[in-house]
Amino acid sequence: MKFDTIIIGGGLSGLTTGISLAKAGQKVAIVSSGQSTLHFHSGSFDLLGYNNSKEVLTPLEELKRLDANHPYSKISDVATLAEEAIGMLRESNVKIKGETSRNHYRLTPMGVLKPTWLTMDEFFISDSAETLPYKKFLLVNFAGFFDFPVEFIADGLEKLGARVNVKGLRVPMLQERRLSPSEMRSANIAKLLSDENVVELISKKINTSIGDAEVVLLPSVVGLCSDEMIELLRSKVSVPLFMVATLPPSVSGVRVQNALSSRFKKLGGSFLLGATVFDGVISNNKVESIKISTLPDEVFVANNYVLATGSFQSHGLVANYSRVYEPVFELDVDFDEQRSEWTRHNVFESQPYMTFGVKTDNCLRALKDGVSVSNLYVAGSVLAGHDSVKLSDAAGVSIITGLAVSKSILKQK
Amino acid sequence: MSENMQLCNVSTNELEQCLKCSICTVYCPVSAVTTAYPGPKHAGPDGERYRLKDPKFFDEKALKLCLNCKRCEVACPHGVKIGDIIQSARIKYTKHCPGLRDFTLANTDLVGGIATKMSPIVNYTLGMKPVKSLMHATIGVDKHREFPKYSAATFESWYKKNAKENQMRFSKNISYFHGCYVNYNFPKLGMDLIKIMNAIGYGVHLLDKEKCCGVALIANGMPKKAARNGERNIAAMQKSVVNGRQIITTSSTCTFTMRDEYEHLLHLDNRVAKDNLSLATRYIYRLVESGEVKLAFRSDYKKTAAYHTACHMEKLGWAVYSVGLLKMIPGLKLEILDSQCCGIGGTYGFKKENYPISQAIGAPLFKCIKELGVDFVSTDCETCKWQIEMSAGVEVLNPISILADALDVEATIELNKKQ
Repeated sequence: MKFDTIIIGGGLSGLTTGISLAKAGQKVAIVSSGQSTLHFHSGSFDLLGYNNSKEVLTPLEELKRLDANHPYSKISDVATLAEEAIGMLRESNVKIKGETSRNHYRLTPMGVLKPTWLTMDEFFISDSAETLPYKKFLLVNFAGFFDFPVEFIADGLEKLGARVNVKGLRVPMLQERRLSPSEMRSANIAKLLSDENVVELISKKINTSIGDAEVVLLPSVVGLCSDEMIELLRSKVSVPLFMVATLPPSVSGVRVQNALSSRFKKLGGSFLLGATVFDGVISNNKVESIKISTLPDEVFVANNYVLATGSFQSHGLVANYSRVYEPVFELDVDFDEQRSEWTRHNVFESQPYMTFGVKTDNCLRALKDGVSVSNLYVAGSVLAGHDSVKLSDAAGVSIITGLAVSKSILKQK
Repeated sequence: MSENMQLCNVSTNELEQCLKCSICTVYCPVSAVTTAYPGPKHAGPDGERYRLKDPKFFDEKALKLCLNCKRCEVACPHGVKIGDIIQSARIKYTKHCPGLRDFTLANTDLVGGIATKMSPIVNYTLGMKPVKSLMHATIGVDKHREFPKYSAATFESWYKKNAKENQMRFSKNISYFHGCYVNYNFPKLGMDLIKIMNAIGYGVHLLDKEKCCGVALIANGMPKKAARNGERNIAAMQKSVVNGRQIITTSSTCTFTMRDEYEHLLHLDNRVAKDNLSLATRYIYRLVESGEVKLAFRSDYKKTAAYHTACHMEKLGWAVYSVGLLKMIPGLKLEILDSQCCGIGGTYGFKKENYPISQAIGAPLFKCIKELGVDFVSTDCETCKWQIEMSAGVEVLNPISILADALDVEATIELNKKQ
């Protein structure tokens, strides 16, 4: 099968690249081995939250102070691409708030405010790290839902001077879910909350508990397929209502994944899910073809290829006892030969393995045996040179490198 | 050494690769509509750890609710064979003997053979309200279900009378596994296939005594009979391949069963199917793409259709071929529906206890189809066809029937002669 571009990896980075290329009229295929780490999404997209362990307020100004190996350092127009990304998300029906010139703060399930770039509309945010936009909170959870650490959140808000009332809701339909207690999970609750009647019932229960609260916070367990139920709930509750992220799976992340892949398919892209890539043939510094597990007798050929396979969690990088490698093409990987140097004993320190990844030239083309592969670009978390936990830049790197790669591919002719 | 230990220690169905991330459960159509089913993670890898310790943890009531769509496996980022774990557990631990209803639903070939012989009576009787109510109350076949009509003559008997002789004049030949549906209910699909294959220069032959693929036998607790059918089919396919004929089908579920389930659930050596069995849409698409054959279409063909990706097509990853083939038809305006389960799950939705679940699963799809207002829906699975026709009120056609209708047969024959 022939395509203009084949993208390996169907997460945030692969989809961004795919949408951008398909929009420009290319025939694109995305091959994805199962669903992506968007299912662990926080509700926010980070561009750059920290540098040298300090909070970043204006990420664009901080770019020049980043390490030379950081993927952003290989891109000249991050600001332009960031604006394009906002447009791409909104066109794909991902409703977001925030701006590139200045970070805002998201509330983590640990009750801490962290700087971020864009946040899904329904999530709670604050403009500053020290103050909150409200004083009196009603924090709601559902009885039996343990993936939402209510006490941490209440504690964190109270430290910032807020008064927090905690309310546990008992909803008959949700109680049934507790038949299998381990399945009282965000996505399962969200499925039950895709029924208007259940949402109305919850809004009534919330309204009777509001008291003098100025705002209601709820775990993000509404809106698996669309925003419809979120809007309904927010319209029925008498004060502003916002969501806070839960433990995975991320309901908002599922919605982003579906919105982006649906947009990609509407633009004519082929999304091949549940397929692993093997037999990547590189000769004369060029990828000639790949094969995929579901269609093993089919040869996939494209002018350009994009590797957006993610990091260790997504198997874009694999570690064994002696080395770290990239499993599709065996590309050059930046990692420490000394196994003992991969980790630091203190878990809160920056972990060196987080910066491991595929080496690229300045155009984000992959290196193999020290030479650029002319038609293989690399985007997203599989790239070397940044610790996304310490920098809070994972979504930004995924989106911005994806768009940059797409620009390079489109510039070719 | 330690590394080798880890590499050697691979469990069946990649059980130990499960991170408990619950992504599979997000995409489970059953747990979306009923809390009685705990979802694939719990029924699959989670439950399996307990079942391995003690079979008393086998919860048949819950596991029976899995409709084996395999959407959990498609979603899993770590390649865990969640659906296989669940179905294997059902095969391994069940002590339940199939009752009359499950026996009837499972033995599609036996029942079909009898029903076609007296099809006018059977079709009339199965359509009667009192009969439906009686079956609902006695054996538990849901009274809301519309049964697929039985044909007056089987496809095999039609073939022997009308097509067989004519197939000998072709230099290129393939075998056709027609399946129970084409044989007993809808011979026209088989005729459509022969029309296309003959036009592009291929003779179509039947296998030497094909048996039902066995998908319904597996689902209804008769794996031993399914394995016997499987062995017969594998032998028939081998014989066909020795004669230089690959095998094509027009049912995604039969194909999926013989390619994947024979190996994963029945532990049969089915390499012959893996290498030589293909859905006809895939076979034809690849012939066209390689330039080996050409298709010409009627200029007066103008239709709108929506393609529905059946669950087993999603798992096979082959929708790309059926869609690709349909897109070759200039007069067909094709919409691609979001890939989601229609709820029928083969015989699953025919059972009275599953009927509400089945319809709730399909509801969003039916709504979407009704709103589109297309001439027809296209899908590669016959049970999806029954479900969608009954619940969305739109005609459903196999891509092969659409292709056969849109094809300019004379022009296609000419095009392929020149080569």
